[in-house]
Amino acid sequence: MATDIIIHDQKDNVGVVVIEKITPKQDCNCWIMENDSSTNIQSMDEIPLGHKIAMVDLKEGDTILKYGHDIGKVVKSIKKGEHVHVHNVKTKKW
Amino acid sequence: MILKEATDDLSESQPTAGNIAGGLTTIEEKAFGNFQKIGSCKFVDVLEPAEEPKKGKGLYFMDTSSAAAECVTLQAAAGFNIHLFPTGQGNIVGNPIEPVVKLTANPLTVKGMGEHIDCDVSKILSREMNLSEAGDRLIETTLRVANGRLTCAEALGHKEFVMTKLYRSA
Amino acid sequence: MEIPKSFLGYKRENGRAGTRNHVIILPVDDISNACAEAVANNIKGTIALPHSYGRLQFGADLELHFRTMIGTGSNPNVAAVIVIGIEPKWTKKIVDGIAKTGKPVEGFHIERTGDIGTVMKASKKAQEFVMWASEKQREECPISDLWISVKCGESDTTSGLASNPTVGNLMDKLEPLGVHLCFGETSELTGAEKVCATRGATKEASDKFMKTWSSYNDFKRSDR
Repeated sequence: MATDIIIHDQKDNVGVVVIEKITPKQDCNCWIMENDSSTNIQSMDEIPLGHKIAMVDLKEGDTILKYGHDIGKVVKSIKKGEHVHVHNVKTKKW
Repeated sequence: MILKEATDDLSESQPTAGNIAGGLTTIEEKAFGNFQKIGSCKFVDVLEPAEEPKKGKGLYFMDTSSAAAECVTLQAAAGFNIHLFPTGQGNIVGNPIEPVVKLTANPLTVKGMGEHIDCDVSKILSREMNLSEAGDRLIETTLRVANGRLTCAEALGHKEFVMTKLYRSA
Repeated sequence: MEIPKSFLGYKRENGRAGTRNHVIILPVDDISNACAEAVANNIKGTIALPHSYGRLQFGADLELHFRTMIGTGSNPNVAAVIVIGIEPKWTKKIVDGIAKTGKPVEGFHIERTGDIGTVMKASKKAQEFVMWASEKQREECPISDLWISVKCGESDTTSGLASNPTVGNLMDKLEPLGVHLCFGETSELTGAEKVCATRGATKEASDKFMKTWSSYNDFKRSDR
């Protein structure tokens, strides 16, 4: 079964699209690298290669976890399956 | 005088427009990605820019800019004789004296600008190649280049030599 | 995979090994670029390394300039060096620094001779160097003679996912074989600085890393 999304760490709340793009309502296969396990998610948006998808519902102020680490904060609420990027997440550094 | 350009906001350059196009959202995300380059190694010392390592074999951290040519120039000046350069969206840098071996895992970069890529590890994303196989392939490429095979950057004439300037001259 | 124990490199006078055999024409300063490039144009198989600085620098910035110049000439990928500067003093300082490696190096200053006279003198020496270097042969060198630097660029999420970990995998496999390794990019560790600091082999190394990262961060924020 082809992998559409790779998740670095079990704790992560985002995954990375690893095919050219995923389309809305696509059922995607996800592979979690850390423990070599699998999961599924249905996308809400079109998301290109290398961009992130929310694995859970996220609200303003929540922390995005990737590599098992804090990589920034949610500035606009995000639903499970939506595109996660600069329009809804910001650094905590500046 | 020299700190006129100082800022606590690097959002224009970190991440870069290219990074953002490739899906990187924040500097933290970029940093944790960057950090994957050292595997599980520990660094034995921290070097000044262009400082030669003096504590024997092993991993060193050098205080450098993150601009490609500036960083490679400093590492070459410290005595490093071969450089490995992973790229996502496709950096094209070379150095006049230290061969720069480029690798990418992005299949669109391999397709669009393959003449710059010495080692293609894009099959990791489709899980047709695991990390250990990719590491072996990179070791093989590195040794071929060490033995004399030209890098893409050498064949294309890239010899970016960029001195790091700390502040304005007198 | 069984990792090869050796590679074919150029053995240098100071015991290091090169993966290349360059003869370089190194300008000390910006205004000597034209001369250096003219020499490299005259003598095939040499390369000029033009750059933008080297005048009226002072303090730590000047020290870094000399360290970079001397280090570049001393790199084992370089067989021999012609140094060209406007003034004799700084030119000699760089020549003397490179000469410690034992490799052939000669300096020329332009003041009171002019570009044309300097190009002629330097070209004659460069020809001698490049013909000497052209006879050097690659010899078997232990893999521990590899000094590998790394740096990523135009990164995207595939970098953190796959190409950077590939380099990490190589480091894990080659570090036990006695190679030197180097990573940098102070600004691009921002956000991961505390995790990175835990990777110091000693407390001194960890503390030195945090000090380096913090002083970069303070520099960036110093107008507040």
